Amino acid sequence: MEGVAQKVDVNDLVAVGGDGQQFLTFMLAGEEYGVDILRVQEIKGWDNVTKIPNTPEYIRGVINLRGTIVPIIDMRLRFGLPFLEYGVTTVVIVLKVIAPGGRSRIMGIIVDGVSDVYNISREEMKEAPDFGTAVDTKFVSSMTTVNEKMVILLDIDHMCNSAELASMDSAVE
Amino acid sequence: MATILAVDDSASMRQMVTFTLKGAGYDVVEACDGKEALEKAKAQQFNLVISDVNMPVMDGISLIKELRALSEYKFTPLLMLTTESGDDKKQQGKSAGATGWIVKPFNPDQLLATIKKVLG
Amino acid sequence: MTVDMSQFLATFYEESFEGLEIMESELLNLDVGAADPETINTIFRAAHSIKGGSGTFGLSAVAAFTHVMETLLDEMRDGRRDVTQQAVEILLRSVDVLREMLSALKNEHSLDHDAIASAQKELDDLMANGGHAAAASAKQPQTTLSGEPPQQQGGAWRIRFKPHTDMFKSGNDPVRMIRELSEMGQIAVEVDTSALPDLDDLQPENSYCAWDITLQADVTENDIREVFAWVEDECDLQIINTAMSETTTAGAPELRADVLEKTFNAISAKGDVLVKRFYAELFRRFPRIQSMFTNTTPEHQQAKLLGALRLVVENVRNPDKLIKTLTELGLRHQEYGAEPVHYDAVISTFIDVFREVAGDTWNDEAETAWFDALTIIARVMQDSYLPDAAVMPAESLPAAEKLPAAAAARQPVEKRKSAGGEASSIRVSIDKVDELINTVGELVITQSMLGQFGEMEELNSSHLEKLRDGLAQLERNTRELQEAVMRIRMLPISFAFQRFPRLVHDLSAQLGKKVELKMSGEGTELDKTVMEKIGDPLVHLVRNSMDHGIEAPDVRRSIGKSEMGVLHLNAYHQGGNIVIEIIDDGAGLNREKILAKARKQHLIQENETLTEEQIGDLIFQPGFSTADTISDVSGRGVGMDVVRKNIRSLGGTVDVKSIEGQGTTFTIRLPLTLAILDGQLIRVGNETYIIPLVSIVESVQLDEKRINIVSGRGEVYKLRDDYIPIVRLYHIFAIPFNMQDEERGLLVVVEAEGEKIALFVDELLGQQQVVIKSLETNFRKVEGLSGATILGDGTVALILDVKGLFDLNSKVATRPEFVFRNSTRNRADDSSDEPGIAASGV
Repeated sequence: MEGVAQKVDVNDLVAVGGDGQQFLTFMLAGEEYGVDILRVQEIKGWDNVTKIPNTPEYIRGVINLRGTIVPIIDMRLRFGLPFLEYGVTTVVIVLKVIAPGGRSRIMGIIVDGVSDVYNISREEMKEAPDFGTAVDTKFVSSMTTVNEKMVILLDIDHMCNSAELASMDSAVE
Repeated sequence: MATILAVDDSASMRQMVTFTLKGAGYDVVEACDGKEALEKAKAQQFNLVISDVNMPVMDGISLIKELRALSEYKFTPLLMLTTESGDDKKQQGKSAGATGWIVKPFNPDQLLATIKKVLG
Repeated sequence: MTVDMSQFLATFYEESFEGLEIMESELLNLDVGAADPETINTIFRAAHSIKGGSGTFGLSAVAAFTHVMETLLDEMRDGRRDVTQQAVEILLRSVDVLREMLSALKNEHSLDHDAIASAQKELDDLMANGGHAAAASAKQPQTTLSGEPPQQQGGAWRIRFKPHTDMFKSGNDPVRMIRELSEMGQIAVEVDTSALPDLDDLQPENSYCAWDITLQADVTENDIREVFAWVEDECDLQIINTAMSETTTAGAPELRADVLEKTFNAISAKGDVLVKRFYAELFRRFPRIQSMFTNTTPEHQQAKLLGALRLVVENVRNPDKLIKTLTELGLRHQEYGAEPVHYDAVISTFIDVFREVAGDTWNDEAETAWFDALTIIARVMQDSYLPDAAVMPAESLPAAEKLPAAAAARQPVEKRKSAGGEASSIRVSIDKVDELINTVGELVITQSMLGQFGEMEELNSSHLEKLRDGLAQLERNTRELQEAVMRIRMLPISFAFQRFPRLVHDLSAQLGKKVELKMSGEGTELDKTVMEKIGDPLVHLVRNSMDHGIEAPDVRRSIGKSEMGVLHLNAYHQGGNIVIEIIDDGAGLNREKILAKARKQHLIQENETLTEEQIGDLIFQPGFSTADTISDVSGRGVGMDVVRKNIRSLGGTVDVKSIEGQGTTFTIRLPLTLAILDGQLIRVGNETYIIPLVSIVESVQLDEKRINIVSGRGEVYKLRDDYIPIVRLYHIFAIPFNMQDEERGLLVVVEAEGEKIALFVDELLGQQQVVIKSLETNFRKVEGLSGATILGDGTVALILDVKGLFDLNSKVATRPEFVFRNSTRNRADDSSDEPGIAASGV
């Protein structure tokens, strides 16, 4: 069920060396977003999902990832951007998300395409302004500029632990 | 190398004894009570039997008595695992025909030292 | 040879917990007064094994605690002590404490020293009383306060060793002992064959020889006796020290109680000064010792020392008690990591400080008396050390890290951490494993049979037939393998039942009721996971029956019942379910009381009449309790609703039947396993769902004429004499409608908790066993779904939660825009598939 030969080995993308944090960036409606590369499990092509009834539109459904059921989220819809037909560059980035209780979950996000890997130092991370991005600032951990382009660094734990996406009941196995 | 029959109803003790003895190069067969031990001893000749005293089904004292009555085990060293408070058990064991005893708790080195003593 | 003992700990813990279960249940079985010796023996054996193992594997706290239990039980076993109710209760409490200790050690938690100490005290008090006098004292540790007579030690020994004639028959060989002696030093052996009979009379199995041995070795007489310990009674043995012909006159040091008391009383007003000065001086002289005291405050430590001193002085004429206290103290100091050098340091410092504080009352006599006393105390304490403390208990020694000896011992502790984090294990009977191995064997044969087709250039029709056979065989093997694996997870329900004898025993006492517990069907097997989760609901129901069901003895007598109530736990298999019944012969549900309460809480209308079933259902409503007074046992408001919720979360049901005055029966039905279910695959639109086969009553072709619309309740379908609500999955799941001919639709009638609904589906696909995967692992609970599974083609299919569909349907049915025909037809018209989630106000 891997779909087209879209699977990318994350290691190929990682620029080795330097201090600071490494971010994998992806494109979404012309803007570049970054996620902590240590949270990226794998990157795979878009494939059909099984829809989950009565869930928000941005939750596209679930897939079978080597025997576990993983939800897939469309980031455009999540951020209220217009839907874009999935094409050859569309990829699913499989992320490890950590809930407040420390429990980790696996989720996939659908993005327009993978962009790059950057090494970003603490000093380069700026607090997100209240304007200028399509994304709700509560999901943004910071912003930075790489080669004069703006990159929005996302707080995936915050983004993926809302009540719509996770059981709030910590007792749930 | 000598083959030893280790009898104890406690799995952890059996594990420890077997692990230690095998580590020293002995062949070890386990039994978890006297009855099982007796059957195994009849099926195969052992050079030494180490048995716990307190066990279900058949206790160590009865096992030693039964083994001693077998011609194959007339002179075989039969050791009991006893606790320090078990003086009367030692006596019972001796009169049943036990060669000697190892006092619990013991560590692997003590066990090996005793076994080496007996098996030479 | 170094063996890492921590590798055996997992097994030790497992068998110890089993041992504790056995002890508990057998203790409850004991008939006080007429105890069955075999029962006591079983209990003894369990305690004995735990003690032996804990000593061997370095859990000294557990070993010390079990030692007293073991001794008590040993006395009971030999008839030297009566089995009293009090003793049983104390032993039961000790089992609890022991269980806590073991699980704390296993999980690397700290021990509850207060609980241990108080249980220990109970045991000690019991030990001190009630034993048949002679026996009790005989079991004291073999140490004497006067100290052992000094051993003759010297370089030259002469030993005469004459085995009795039948020594060989115990498997002992004189050669062994002589070899052992030879390892001690220089040895010369002469054989005395004078007792050998003539060859004709010689019995080859007898021993006739004697040995005269001279040994040059720096050993004690005891060392030599040790060599002959096993044959003590089977030989004549003489040991003479040739180096020291004269006997030493120096006797053992004696405790001068009078002097000790006098000097101590003289400074008792200055006790605080003494201990304060003592520690200051000790740390000044031996700075490294200080690191052993970091987890205590100076004040606390000083108070402890003063207390210990008082205890010693007060009990100096009561050696039994003193030895016991010192033994415990010694064990604790072993845990702290105290070594002989530390004792010497303490003694010398103490004497110096005492002299300084005591002033004029101090003299040579006092100094000698205290020095001797402290030396003896130190010896008794060190004698109590358990051998092999290499694996130190995790709870001790936080301060000892800086000591080199302790540092060496830390490694096993760390290692154990990883062992402690292991997943829980289950014990599997060997039959089940054999079955598994057989099945795998068959699978291997099938695989090799199928493998040959892969090597063929082309397949002809006879090959094809064989290939089909092979695939069929593979399917059978796979199914058998799956079943065999699932059976490994199945355990008898006795694991869940075994806590009840104790619970009923304790509750009876607490409630002042007489209750006999009957259990049947304990061998009924169910999945381990289900077992773990059903424990708490069962406890709650049993408590409920004990508290509200079974009446007090006087009440029972007054209505002509036997004073002894009966609580019956029963289990059996029925279909794919396990049924567990909790049956009591008590008062039954009080119909009037329940109705009154329900009216008061507005759960029902004033005049509403209810069926028995509905009344039973009321007690499972949140916050519903009819208890007049809230008792400790049950009825705190958290009640039956939680029980039902928990059982439902396992995919089970609970219901109650009751006859007033005669008793109540709670019936729990649970799936045998949570991991697998028999499913019916259905299609709705482009989606595939799975309905648990157990909840399907029947499937019927939809006949539109039978659909009626009931205002406010939506559509119902007339099936024989029933009117069954229709639930359209299209609707409640908001699935794009793409069906051409509604007449071809099907209704699948499903049932949950006595209610039926008819699910409207497009098509029935196959039936198959599916492995249940949780949606909540990475996502969340979704109403109407109980999970998901992965189909043969790798895609995910969702499993319907029938009960959840009822609730979902009642929510959706109240939507204002809901008119079935239009809504579905409309949606068919604008079924703009992608991005797919057709908006419908869901």
